[in-house]
Amino acid sequence: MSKQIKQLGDDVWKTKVEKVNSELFTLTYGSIVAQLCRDFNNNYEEVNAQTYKMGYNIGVRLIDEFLQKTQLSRCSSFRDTAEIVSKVGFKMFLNVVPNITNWTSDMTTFSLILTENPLADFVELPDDGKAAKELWYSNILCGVLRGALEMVQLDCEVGFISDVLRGDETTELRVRLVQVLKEEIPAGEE
Amino acid sequence: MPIYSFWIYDRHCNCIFSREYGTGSQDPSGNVLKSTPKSKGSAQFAPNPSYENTSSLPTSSQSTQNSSISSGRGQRLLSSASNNHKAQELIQKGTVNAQNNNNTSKLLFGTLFSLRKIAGSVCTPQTETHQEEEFNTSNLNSFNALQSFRTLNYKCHYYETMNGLRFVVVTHPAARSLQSSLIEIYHSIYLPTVVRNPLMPVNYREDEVISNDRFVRAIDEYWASLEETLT
Amino acid sequence: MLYSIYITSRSGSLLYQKDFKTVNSPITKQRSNDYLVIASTLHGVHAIASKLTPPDAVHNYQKAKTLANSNRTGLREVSTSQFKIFMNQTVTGIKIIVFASPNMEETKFAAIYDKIYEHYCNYVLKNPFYQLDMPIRCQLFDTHLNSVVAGCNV
Repeated sequence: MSKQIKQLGDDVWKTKVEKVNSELFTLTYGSIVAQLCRDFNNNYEEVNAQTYKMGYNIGVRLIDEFLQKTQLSRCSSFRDTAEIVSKVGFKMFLNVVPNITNWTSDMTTFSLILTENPLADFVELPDDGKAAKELWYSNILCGVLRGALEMVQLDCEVGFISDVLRGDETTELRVRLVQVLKEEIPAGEE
Repeated sequence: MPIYSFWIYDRHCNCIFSREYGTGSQDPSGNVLKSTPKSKGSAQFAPNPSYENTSSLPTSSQSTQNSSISSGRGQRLLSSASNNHKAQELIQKGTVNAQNNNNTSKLLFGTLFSLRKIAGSVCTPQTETHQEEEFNTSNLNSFNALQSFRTLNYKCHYYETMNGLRFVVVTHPAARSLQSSLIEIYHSIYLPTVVRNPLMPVNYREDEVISNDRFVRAIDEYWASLEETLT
Repeated sequence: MLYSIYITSRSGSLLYQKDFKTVNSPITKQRSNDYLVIASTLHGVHAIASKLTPPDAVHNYQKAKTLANSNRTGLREVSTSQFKIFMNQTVTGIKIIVFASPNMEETKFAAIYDKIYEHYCNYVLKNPFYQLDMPIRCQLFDTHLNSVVAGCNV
């Protein structure tokens, strides 16, 4: 199963996805974050919130793109979801495949370890003593995941818990399944 | 072989697009139905009579904007045959977004909703863990999917995407399965003209509909091109 | 292939329900309450489907090749990726509903429907101890239905 998923990710990446210049991509994102830092006077909490929101708005649309290109049917467990997110989702849009680890015993929470992060090429956080503690530079990824998963009925909490930019050993993203959303029913049917 | 109407419902069960095609005198059998005359001329795209009612809402101005993004795959469908005579004829009749909130729309949705519930529930296996159950009983599981229902008078085709969009088309009862057409509409028309159009919302407010010209035209042309080969 | 048979009364209550042990049947076991819900839902949807007829389509049934019986405008067939549902209604208002494999043709269903109706008349209605509109518990009916299904599933 896991192998097929990996194959699917590779195929979609090779045949269906349009590529852009990675410098353009990295620099665009970089200038957005930098501008946000200036706009909010280095209030990094607020910057995190803004990038998360932007990501969310991307995610709720990106899911259509994802479903169309991959033609996947629904996952039967959260473990499948994790595999798909890493091997197809990340592969397709960023050409990286994060490792999935640190499952909790109830199988509701896992970590994605980003060995490579295309967003963070060339980045050094500002040396103001605050950024390295407060800014999650790539927080947009959390928003994208959150938005996309919500659109397929998976209500998740997504957040970074470590980042090499801050001097941590790894870049680790934590995903927790809060609930599987119930289907909406037409008003007045119950 | 006539196509009677086309509908899109979003994940909140609201009808975000309805298109009724009047076939009127085209009845091939010759037993002409002099039913209530169709209100002709109500099919101009924008502003459309029903749409004007809502255009005072602050949000709806977004949806009248045309998309300026074109996509590789959708291009063929979007640009072709804009002067196709047959298509024009089809477009002249019927209404756009006039029925989103009326009884027909709600009954149609209710019918499909009940049928797909049955389709899913009788095929759902027993589960062991709580999480499995949550996954299995949430909507959109993949054990079974409703495709169509039929009476002797008409046939209604249904396609649902994983994020809860529902595409519905009502045709003559002898029509072949139109699943693939609905999927193609999602991929080649909805995706480029609605999803990739940054001015269109993802979550529609009440009374907010798709009235984007490019979208409506592409849909009309698609169905017009299909009418001949429906069986 | 035939998977299940339901029979409902004219008011939509479930008179008879049976899932057959057909090879590869996708139908899983449900709670008995769920069968009642399915039957009454189909009963309701049958009538609503008739209301939904597009104005331009109201006379299409006159050209239909299959015997319309008393189900001219109501729901007749539901297709899903795993199975089809056929339903037909007798003039007295009894509905016979069949769950079958997706490759089942309407003409084949018509033949099966005839057989089921015949057995219903013979072994249910002619049974002096059967009360109208009550759930059907007749062993003879069971065995004959089984033979219909076996004949069809060969």
